[in-house]
Formats: sequence, C-alpha cells, structure tokens
Amino acid sequence: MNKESKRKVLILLALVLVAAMVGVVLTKPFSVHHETISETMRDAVLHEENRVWLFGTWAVDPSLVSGYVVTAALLVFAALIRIFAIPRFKYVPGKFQSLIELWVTTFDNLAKSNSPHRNKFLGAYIFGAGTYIFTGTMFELFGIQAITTDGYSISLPAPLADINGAICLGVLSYCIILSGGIAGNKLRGVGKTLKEFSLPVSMSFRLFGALVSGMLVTELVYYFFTLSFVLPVIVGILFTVLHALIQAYVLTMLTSVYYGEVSEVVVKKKKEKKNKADKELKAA
Amino acid sequence: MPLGIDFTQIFLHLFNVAILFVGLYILLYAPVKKFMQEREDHYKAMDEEANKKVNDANAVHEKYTERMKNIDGEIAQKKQQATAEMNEFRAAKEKEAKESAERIVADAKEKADAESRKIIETAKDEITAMVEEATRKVVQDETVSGAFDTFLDDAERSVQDGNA
Repeated sequence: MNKESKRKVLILLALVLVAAMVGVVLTKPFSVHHETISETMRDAVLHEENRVWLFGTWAVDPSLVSGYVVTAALLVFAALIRIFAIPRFKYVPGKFQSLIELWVTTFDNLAKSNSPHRNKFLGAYIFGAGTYIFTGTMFELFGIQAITTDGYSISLPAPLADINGAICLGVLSYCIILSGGIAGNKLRGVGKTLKEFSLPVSMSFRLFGALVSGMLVTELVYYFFTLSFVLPVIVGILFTVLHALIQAYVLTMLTSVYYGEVSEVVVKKKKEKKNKADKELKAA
Repeated sequence: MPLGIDFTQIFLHLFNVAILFVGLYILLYAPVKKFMQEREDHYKAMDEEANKKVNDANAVHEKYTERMKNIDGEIAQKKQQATAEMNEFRAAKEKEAKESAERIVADAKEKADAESRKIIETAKDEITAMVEEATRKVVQDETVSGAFDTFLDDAERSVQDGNA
C-alpha cells in the first residue's frame, strides 16, 4: 500500500467516524431509558428488578447467570490448556507457558508464604477463588447482553456484584479457614476460627461493596450521554482492571493469612504448663 | 430478606463455584504444579550430580596437589629404585656373561684336550709303525751290508794304525 492510498483510507475512516458521531448526536435525544438513574443505582445494589430467567424457570439475578457463563468459559479455557498446552510444556518455558505458570505460582506462593506449615488445599482454593474474582470482574467489560423477565435488554454484570454471590464466596472462604483450623489444631482450631466470627460478614460485604461501587460509577458514566466520550476508557477499563486485581488479591490474601493463623500448631502452652507444674513441685 | 439476600441463589452460586474450583484444580492447578515439581526435581538431580562431580574433582585436585608437594622426594625415591634395579640387572648380566665365557673356555679346553689326545694317539700309532719299519730295516741292513761295512771299517782302521 503506497502513501496516497493510505491517505485515502485514513480520510475515509475519519469521514465514517464523523458520520457516526453526527448520527449518534442526532438520534440520541429520541432514545429513552426504561428507568431513571436513581432506579438504576438502586437496582444495582438491591437487585429487586431486572431479573433474568435461569433455565427458563427461575427468575434470578443476572449476576448468577454471569457466574455460570464465567464458570463455563473458564472451564472450557482450562480444558483447552489441559489438552493442547500442558502436554507440550517444556523445561525452558515459552511466553504462554510462563503466563500459565505465573498464574499458578502466584497463588501457590501466596499460600506457602502465609501458611508455610499447611498449604496444599489452601493453594488450590485461592487459585480457584482468585481466578473467579478476577475473571468475573473483568467479565463486565464484555457487556454481554441478556433479556430481563420484563423484556428489557441489559448487559450482564460481574458475578460478585450480587450480594448473594459475595456472601457465597465470603462464607465459603470462612469455611475453608475453619477446615484449616480443624485440620491443624482440632477443637482449638475451631475456637480460633470462631473468634473471628465477623470474618464472613466483613469478607462478603467488602467484596460486594467494592464491586458494586465500581459498577455504580460505571453505570453513572454510561447513563449520561455527555460522559460517554473518552471517560469510559478510564472508568470502564482501568477501574475494572484495578478492581479485578485488587479484589482477587484482597480475598485470597485474607483467606490465606487467616488460614495460616488458625492452622498453625500451638506447642507453647504445653511447655508453659510443664514449667508451671515443675515450679509447683519445687515450691512443695 | 433485606438487601436482596436469597438463600436459594446463594446455594446456586455455591454450586457454581464448587464446580469451577474442582474443575480448575483438576484441569489446570494440579497438572501445572505436577509439571513444575517434575522440572524442579529434574534440575535438583542435575544440581546434585554437578555438585558431586565438583566434589570429586576437588578431591582429585587435592590429592594431586598433595602429591605435587611430595613429588621431589618421590622422584628421588623412584630414581634410587631405578638405579638399584639397573645395578642389579647389570650385575646379573655380567654374571651371566662370565658364566657363559667360562663355559665356552672350559668347552674349548676340553675340546683341545680331546684333540691333543687324539693327535698323540695317532702319533703314537705312527711312531710305532715307523719304529717297527726302522727296526725291520736295521735288522735287514745288519745281515749283509753291515758285515761288509764292518769289515771295511776294521780294515781302514788297521791301515791307519800300521801307518802310525
């Protein structure tokens, strides 16, 4: 392609863009929102309206459908890697292999550093949880459309932007911590875990709050036509990517820290008891 | 429920998450970790082997350094040993040569004696034959010409006596 033809193509592209912008500006005043911004915000938090059919029978929150879509996509991706990539892995890794290894070792090392004495199950759990949170949060960027029970079109939100999804992951993480406590310290471990009774609530609501706040900002920006230029690139992409990374890191970090704490075997108290008994004997 | 909390949906999320976690563990986490463990073991084995080789090389180096320190003494000892061996060998060879020479001389003497004896025997036989021949000739001469010669001699002597 010579210089002149390149110039022609660029001019044509510019004309198409300008025409598109003019079209948007001319037609936008006639478009109608089916709900106000306050209704949209309220629904983003409470999920009272805009439900979608699950398997054609259950009217559920769209986040649940998002969760299933994310799970299916992740499992298909994992299966493809398992079938086509892992058998071709080499001792000196290429770029893709390095990426997959980095993905696994990040969570594995996090588990090992926070719970050095017991981390096999924890590593597997935080790998799954971190992957789900990151991918789930990034999922809202794709804007996959679904039809509500009322017949409106909505874009599927992040799976954890629903309080039920966040509670599920928060409580599940707490149960995992409890299992670590039982495995490491039996009843004492249960006691140590139950001391942190606020943990499931705090983890659930932290996750929910973080994701909903991100979604609210994004909704706000996209709702108003005047904010629809340039700004969504920053708000929609950068914020979402940061959210995805931060939330995945926070939940996996908290889970592994508490898991390491409650599963660590305590031997100090026995010694103290022995010392006490020795002192009593000496005193007698 | 407040805040839209719905236990059915929580369990539906739980079901979803459980499937995802198990699937990811089986399909990705476990195989990748297994591969990385294999690689770690492989390099660990290589490292151990290399360390072992280095240790062996160091031991050999130390051994040879030690030997190099004592090399002068060892060389002198070897030289002395070689000289002793050489002397021994030379003495053996000399002895062998001497014995061989003595044996040759003795053989030659014996042979010469035998030859001499043989010659004497032969000479004896020849002398006996000559004596026999001479005796036979003397006997023969004494019978005829001898008597004549004696007569002539006696005659010559009586002439010489008469003249005197």
